[in-house]
Amino acid sequence: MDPGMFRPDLTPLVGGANTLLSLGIVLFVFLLLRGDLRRLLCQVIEYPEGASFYLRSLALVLLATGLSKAILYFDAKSIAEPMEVVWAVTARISGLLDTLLIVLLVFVGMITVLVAVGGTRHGK
Amino acid sequence: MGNEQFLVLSYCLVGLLCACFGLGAYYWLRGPADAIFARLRQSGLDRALQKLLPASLVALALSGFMSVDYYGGCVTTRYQEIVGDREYMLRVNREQMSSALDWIVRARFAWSGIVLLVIIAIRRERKRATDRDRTSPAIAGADAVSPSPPIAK
Repeated sequence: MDPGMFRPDLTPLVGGANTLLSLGIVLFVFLLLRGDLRRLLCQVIEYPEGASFYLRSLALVLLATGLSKAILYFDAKSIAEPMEVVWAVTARISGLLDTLLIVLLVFVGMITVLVAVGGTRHGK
Repeated sequence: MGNEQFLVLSYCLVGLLCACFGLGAYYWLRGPADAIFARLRQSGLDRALQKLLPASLVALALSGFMSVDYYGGCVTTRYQEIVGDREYMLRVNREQMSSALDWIVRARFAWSGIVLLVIIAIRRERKRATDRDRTSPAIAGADAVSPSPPIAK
């Protein structure tokens, strides 16, 4: 490319793409889990409000995690090359996925305890 | 607007926004959480939990907001340098919001554990009540089946 050519600042694009992708991933994970999780929770907890609480709290955690990462990584150094945009976005999404993994592992641990308690009750 | 006023205004606004994050999380969870706590038979505990939920969510969101230091980590920044750099102030504001959201996630995990314990407590109470109901009619039934022998005249 000609070095003297005008290159637009693509930094806002990184922020926008990062926010959209973060929220999209979070929404995708929630929609993926929602149906089966609701069925499982209704079966285990037996109180509908209990199942509702855990589903709402999962939605809250996923949304807060996605927003937290999107806000934190909104600023970036001045980016002018399209490929730099891709690298910046993938680096930030990688951070989000790491955090999501930890959040989901903790959630799965909690649900396993719930199922264990429910299982004991049904076993008696 | 001068940079110093911008610093004060942005600090107050972001603090308010973080408190709103906590309140929003509370309103999102309030319905089902209150319904579960209301199932507890111990009077007082349900009300205490209902009051603790908003207090803890807002307090932890504010705690996350306040935990972010303007003076930076390794590199010490002077006050005049902070006030002179709007970009830096905005970055700290974003860190404050992110930290508040992280603390809401932690609070939510703690409350999920509490709700789990409440569910276990409700089950125990119900089981105890069922056992009591089961044993009471048995005693009453035993009395009914074997009445006291008639008194011979």
